[in-house]
Amino acid sequence: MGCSQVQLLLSAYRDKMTSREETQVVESHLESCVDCQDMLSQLNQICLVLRTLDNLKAPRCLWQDIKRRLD
Amino acid sequence: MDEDIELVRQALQGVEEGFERLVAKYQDRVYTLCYRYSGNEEDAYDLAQEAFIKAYRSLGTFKGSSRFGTWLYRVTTNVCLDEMRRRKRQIQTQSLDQPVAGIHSDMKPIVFDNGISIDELYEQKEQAEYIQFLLNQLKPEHRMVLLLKDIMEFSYDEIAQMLDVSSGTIKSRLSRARELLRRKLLDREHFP
Repeated sequence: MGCSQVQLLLSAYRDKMTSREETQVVESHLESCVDCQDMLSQLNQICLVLRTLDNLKAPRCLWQDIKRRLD
Repeated sequence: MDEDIELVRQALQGVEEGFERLVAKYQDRVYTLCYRYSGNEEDAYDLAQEAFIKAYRSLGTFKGSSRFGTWLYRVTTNVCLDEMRRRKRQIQTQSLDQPVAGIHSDMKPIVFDNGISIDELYEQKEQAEYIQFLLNQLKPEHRMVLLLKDIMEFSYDEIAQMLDVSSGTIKSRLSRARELLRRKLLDREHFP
């Protein structure tokens, strides 16, 4: 399997959502391909950054505004 | 009995406190999802309100086959996607080739492996807003799947249920969304 096909699987691979066969193919390819290793590293960093975005606080008046609309 | 189901039951019987407690429990996560999707506080507030109102009016359709939270986030994602499509508002039209306006204008881009780590950059307060700016460049369906997986941390199956598509569709859509975000970062950074 070439780089382009492997790269299509990397997102699912990092989420452990590839099949056993796909996982073997990806891991075998990664052993010898620096480009795909780099891409996997970048995907991991993107996911890490997204995961660290703060959970925001809803404005305090939200329930009051909802209640007013429901009344 | 599951606390949420009991609160839903109370709300359906007209006990206001039941729904108020559900709002209190989920409002921050719902608001965060709406903010990350819309990219601004005003729209996020309107969308969160709309999501809870739609949820309240649809409570009778909640059968308890999934967790209440999953059901509520499904309502919220639908409100976001429907509302923003309806408005046909271009939330963020600025090209990534142009300097970012306002507080973003002198912000350093994320750099992967050429000397500055994301951790270091992320220490800058503005970094979250820069990521938000990049998210805003994506198509709604790509932005939403990134939010649900990488920010809200739902599983593929949960996201598939929320968006009413197959898990395979989520897999390919998420792959595409991450790749688009990666390319935007690479373009911006002149990555070697």
